[in-house]
Amino acid sequence: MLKGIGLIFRKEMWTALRERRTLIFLFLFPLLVWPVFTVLPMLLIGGKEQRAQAQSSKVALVSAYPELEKEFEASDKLQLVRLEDSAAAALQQRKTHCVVYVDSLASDSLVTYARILYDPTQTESRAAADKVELVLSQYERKIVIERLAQQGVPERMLKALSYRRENAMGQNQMLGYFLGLIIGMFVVMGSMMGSMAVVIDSTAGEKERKTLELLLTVPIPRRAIMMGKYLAGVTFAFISPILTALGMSLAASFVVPVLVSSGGSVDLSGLISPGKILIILLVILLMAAFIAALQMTVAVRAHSNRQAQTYLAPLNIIVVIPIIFLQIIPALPPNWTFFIPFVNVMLLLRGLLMDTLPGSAVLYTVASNLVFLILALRFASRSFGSEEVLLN
Amino acid sequence: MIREVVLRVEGLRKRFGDVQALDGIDFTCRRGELFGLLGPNGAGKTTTIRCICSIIKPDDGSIEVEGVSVASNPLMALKKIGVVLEDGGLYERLTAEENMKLLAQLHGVDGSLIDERIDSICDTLGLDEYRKRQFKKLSKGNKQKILLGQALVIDPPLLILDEPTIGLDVPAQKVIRDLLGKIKKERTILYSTHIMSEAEELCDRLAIIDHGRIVAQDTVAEICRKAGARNLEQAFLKLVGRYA
Repeated sequence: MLKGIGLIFRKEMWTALRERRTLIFLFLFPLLVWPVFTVLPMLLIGGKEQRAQAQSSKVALVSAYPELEKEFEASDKLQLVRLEDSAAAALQQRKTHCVVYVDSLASDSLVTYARILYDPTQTESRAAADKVELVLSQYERKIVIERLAQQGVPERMLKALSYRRENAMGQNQMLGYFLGLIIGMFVVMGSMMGSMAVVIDSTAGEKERKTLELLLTVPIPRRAIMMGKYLAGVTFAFISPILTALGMSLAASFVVPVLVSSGGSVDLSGLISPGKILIILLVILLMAAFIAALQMTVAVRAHSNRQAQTYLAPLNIIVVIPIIFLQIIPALPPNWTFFIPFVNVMLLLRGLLMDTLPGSAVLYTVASNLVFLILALRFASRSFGSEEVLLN
Repeated sequence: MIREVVLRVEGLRKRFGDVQALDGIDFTCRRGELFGLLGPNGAGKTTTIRCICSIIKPDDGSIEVEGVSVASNPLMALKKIGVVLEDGGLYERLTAEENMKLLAQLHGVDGSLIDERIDSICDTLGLDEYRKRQFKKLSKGNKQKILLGQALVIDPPLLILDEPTIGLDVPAQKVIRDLLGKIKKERTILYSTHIMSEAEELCDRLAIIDHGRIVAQDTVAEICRKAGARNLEQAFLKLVGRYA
């Protein structure tokens, strides 16, 4: 029995690793495609925001106050331009990043009203509006101080409370948060994608190529044939998310410094202890075993590669749905959430990376995955033992 | 001299839903004999072969290969059978040689014998030029030879060939028939076909199956004589009731 499982397993690995599609899903996607396509937009957006803040913004000022105009001119972050067109057209054509209208002051009023017209869809326009707000607030403060001085009130009376906002999380915690949000999703998807091609090829693909029937004539128990194929699926479902996690972690170490505007890079080793790595590997292994069994149960019912892909597509969607809710599940989720397959893996990874994991979560996740794995394996075994399923 | 029975099939029945695919099939193949299963499409030839190879379980009846019951000891029985299934395939990304090696290993052939057997089979089947080529890159005729090779590499007492020439062009059919002519001397072969000329040329004895039943079983000459027909094709059409 064991020799048979080993032979079938070796055959599946051997044939799968000669398939370009398998190699693409196993190595190219986890190590390159997903990290690049996740990180690149973030880096581009982050870099653009930083550049927009650092560079001088073009501002059109419509005002009857020369003093205010001087304030704008004095700012090295603003460049005054003349408004030759309508404000909307000037913004659209990027002749200016924002337009500031300052109303005339009523003789009996102490307040001057200003409107900042900007395009919130444009990074440069948002940055320009921020800079204008800063200049206006500094100008307002200057006027208020002058007015108070006229009334004999000292400037210090203006300040009753001093506060500032500080990021209490270090870069590693930020990395944990960032990875926690996305890595669970990619690990689950990586596992699904990694094993899908192999599972389909070893079941429906073999039916389509008429090799499965020949395999059923070899003197090896049918359960051993199934287990050999299943273990190949588990291997791919296990390796792919690990490569995905590696790729995403490396990518995140480049993104986080940009997001926290500190530059440099972060140290991944400080984020995950060997104990955490062991827990993560155990949970991913159980999930991989569950996914492979689930895919096998479904794929063996199809009679061609294409049909198997159609059958498995809803399964991929079912797995993606919990990802949508992951953002709204609190950092300390209720215990029952750790019994939901896939969701528990995502939550566990997030909790481990952010150090917010309840003690019982690992136990619940492992127990739940084991139960689901055994059930899925029984279904797969039943499907594989059915003449109707195998010869359809 | 009556030769030893290698394959004994008795009272084989199999139903798929409303269709009675096999309705009491009985026949025996003796050592060194090429026994033909002849019948129209859907007659039950492939179902019979699937039952013998333990791919499906019959509802009733018994099958023995060299005295080993397929029902009670399928793995032992399967060790004695080499199969070429109808329209069958092999692993496309493996070479011809790797495919034969894999099947030999799966059948538990001693590792030290495998290479020697593959060399001999490639020589017999004229495959030396193609043995290192991936299966998918071979012509249909050569693919069929490799399929025959994987069945021979296990050196089985019983060789089962289900429509091995189907889909091949005339020269390739001739090559396969010539090969069978060569190997039939030293093997027991159960040979399923619906090509009359092939059956007439190759089979020592044959059974004609129709609607899951054997309607005639004997040598070609005897079947023709009993049916009052000039040749096998005429006998076949008379026996399956499609001859005016």
